[in-house]
Amino acid sequence: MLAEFGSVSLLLALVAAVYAIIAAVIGARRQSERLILSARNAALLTCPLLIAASLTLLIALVSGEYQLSYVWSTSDPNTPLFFRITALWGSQKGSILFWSTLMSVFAAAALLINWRSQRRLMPYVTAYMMATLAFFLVLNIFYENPFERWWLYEGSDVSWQATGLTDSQQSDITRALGGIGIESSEQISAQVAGITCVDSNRASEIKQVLQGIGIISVVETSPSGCVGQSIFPPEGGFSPTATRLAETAQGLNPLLRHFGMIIHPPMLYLGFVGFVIPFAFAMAALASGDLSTNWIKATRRWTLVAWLFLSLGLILGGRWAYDVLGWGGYWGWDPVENAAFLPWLVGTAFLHSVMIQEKRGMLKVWNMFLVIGTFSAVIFGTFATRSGLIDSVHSFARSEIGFPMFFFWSGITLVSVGLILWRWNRGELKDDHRFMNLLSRETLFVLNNVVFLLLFVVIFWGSFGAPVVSELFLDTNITLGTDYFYQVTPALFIALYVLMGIAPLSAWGATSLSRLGRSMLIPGALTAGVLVLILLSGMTDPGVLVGYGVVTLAGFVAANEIYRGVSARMRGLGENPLQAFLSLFARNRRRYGGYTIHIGVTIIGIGVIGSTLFQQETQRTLSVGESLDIGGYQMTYLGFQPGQVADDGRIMDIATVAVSRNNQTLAEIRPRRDFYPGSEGMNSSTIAGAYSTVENDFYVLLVDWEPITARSATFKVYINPLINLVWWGGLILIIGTLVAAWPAETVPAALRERRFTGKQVKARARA
Amino acid sequence: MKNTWIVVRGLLLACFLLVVLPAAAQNLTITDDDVNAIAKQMYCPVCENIPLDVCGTAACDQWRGEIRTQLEQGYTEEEIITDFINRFGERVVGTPQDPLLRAVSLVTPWIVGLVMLIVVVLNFTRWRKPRPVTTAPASITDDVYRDRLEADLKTRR
Repeated sequence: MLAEFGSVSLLLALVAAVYAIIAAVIGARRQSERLILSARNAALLTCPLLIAASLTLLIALVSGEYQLSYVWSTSDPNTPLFFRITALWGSQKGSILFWSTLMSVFAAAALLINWRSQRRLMPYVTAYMMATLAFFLVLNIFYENPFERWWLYEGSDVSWQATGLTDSQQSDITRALGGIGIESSEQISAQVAGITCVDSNRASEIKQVLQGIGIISVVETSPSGCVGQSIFPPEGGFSPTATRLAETAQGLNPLLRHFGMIIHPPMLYLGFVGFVIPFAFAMAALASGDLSTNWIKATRRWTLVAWLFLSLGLILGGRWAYDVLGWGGYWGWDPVENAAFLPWLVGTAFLHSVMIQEKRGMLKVWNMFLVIGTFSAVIFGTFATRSGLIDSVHSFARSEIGFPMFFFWSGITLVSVGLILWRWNRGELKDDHRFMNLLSRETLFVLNNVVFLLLFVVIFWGSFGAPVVSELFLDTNITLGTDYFYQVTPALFIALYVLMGIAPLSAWGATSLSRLGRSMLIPGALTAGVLVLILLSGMTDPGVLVGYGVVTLAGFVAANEIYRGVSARMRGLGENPLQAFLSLFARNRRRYGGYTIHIGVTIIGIGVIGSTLFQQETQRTLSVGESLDIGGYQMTYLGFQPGQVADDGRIMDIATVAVSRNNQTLAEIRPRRDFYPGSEGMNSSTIAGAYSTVENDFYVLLVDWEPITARSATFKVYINPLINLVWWGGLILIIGTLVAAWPAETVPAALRERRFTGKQVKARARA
Repeated sequence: MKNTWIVVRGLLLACFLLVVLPAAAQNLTITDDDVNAIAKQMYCPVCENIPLDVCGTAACDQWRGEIRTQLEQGYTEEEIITDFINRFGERVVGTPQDPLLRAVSLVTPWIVGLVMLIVVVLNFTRWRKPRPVTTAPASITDDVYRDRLEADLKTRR
């Protein structure tokens, strides 16, 4: 019943989305209010339908409906409720459904919030949002359906000798089977190929066709038990027993059984789907011809919200990797991580560049390209990670969703670029102003955009470009790892921090060097002070000094700007520091939210430099009672507890080590290995033990141990300096984004005046 | 006779060195850190993009074992990496060693970057070309908020 209900909900959502596209486009062309409203209602309807589909799958997961193959493959009777819920996005089919549901929620919110203010754009916005949603629903219904069930049925195998066949015979077989609707044959063993589990009529048909092209040794087995997946039962099919299903259920991938997984993927998906809204508005502007700043005003907050979630997803992903993947770091420049980072880079460039269009009416074409680039990067990242492109350029062709996703990504990108070029060619995207001075905020923002895009290019090239090009044209598989990224990205990050320091101090239009110099005086002096302290601590590496110099300068500039704003309010309005601080942020959320984000990015930068350049590591095998020394710490192996069984059935092997410094014990930590007996494939995970301080993390991994007695065990130990600043900086970045994205209160001037105290009114009058 | 004795002693010394030195080389204590220093530059053979020093699969264990053996046999870091590349291809390292692949991998993004910079510089030059200006800016800045903030700070000092 759950499978039927879920499938029907998905199908109805697809019908509603397709109807909304058609009605919105025809309604906009014919200026038919009735059709446009009908399109809106259909688009809104997708939201409850998809929520119903997701809830259905959730109920199936929670109640252990193992006949649903998705539930069977992502949970088992030992899986705790917490992970049953997170299993909703624990595998491809469920995550696409979850993605579609979030997209429909975003779409509904955008329709409800912007309907009145953006009437001209909304029909096209509806069409674009629903086109994207419809595509994902097609994937969910026809390629990756989470409501498919296991069925048992009787069927025969038809097999033949595979060795000794010529290429021509092979292609004859493929052609002949294709002629009766069978795409390819299964390689049953090295010698035997065949078609498994077909009914007796089909088996006879295959046998005849193959014998007709001269394949003599065709064998048809007598009917026996077969297992298949489909939503509705095949002819003669019956469901396996509940006990059998529960016994064989696979459980969630061990790497996904972590608290971070409850929030990291949803945040990332929210970030991804959030960028659909600015994209749809940009496309609507191009399609409707309303190329004013309306679309930008309508999408600024949506972009910030998407950016917020994407940032949060990236930070939480880093934390999850640090805790669960067991390699001592949080960012491995892995293509999957990079696929999520790429839209963030273009989206950040867009967030900066869009200000130029708002303030100066410039960079209209550029902003269109950036918003499309962001969305295109989202779809490309999804395509690359889900189609298997990362494993091999050829594997995406074997993936069921590889080709559809590739066509959607390339199609939507080409159509969007085509629309921009068409409008551009018609002269409808001309800038209102020109750049007046090389030293102006807009010029510096353009440079900032260039650096962001250069980062995009080098990361894209390292993650996807070079491996694909080398495989396609040079017939060699290569991996570009951290070495490559450490060679090409630092210079660009330094440039970014330099611009982050200078740009906020420059003015729109033009600024003078003397004014810029004066503004830089205090932050510059503070930075010099920090550099002197670093030098005094004995670090003379030019790379470290440059790194910390530019990063702290950017932070001091932002902090100084906030300080100056607070001072001005305290002096001018007689407010106390807290009052002045809060009012300052409340009255200009975007500016001071932005500065807070810059401070967050600075703190992240300090953490990244510290944990990357000064990381220490060692690997040693210790006997019980033996110690190792690293970075001024001493670690002693105290003992081992093998085979501890957790509530969820996982078996934990736990080592206990003591961490001390200057002969004083600081902590006892318990790195461990978790084994998941029921899981196939990767059935263990390495959970680090860590002693965390502001200064560093003492991070221990249990690598191996002596069997049975565990009298000796091998540990990999890392000292990760300043690593916690990465998480704290991330938190500040999120707070800053929330401040910047928070809707401003619009209070009439008269009411605003009444809110001031007498003293403040006098102070304002004096000012 | 004296010369013969010297030759015999020389031969004995040579034999001793031939026997003892390789044995001494083989008895070098290779630490996990020595192995990981090389493994860090290589990638897991069966799982994508996981550095060999932190990979937990049996295949990675085997490769690390091979590195240890080669180190014990006196191979240098470069020789070991080259041997793995020869046997398993360029995919085992983080940056290709083959000159052509290396050049393609490392130079291409910079060429693209250079082209982007040239385009930007050309555009800046074009944008800055004087054109009939209808409205000249009243001041060099139109950042109203910032001007007000500066004025506030100046007045209150």
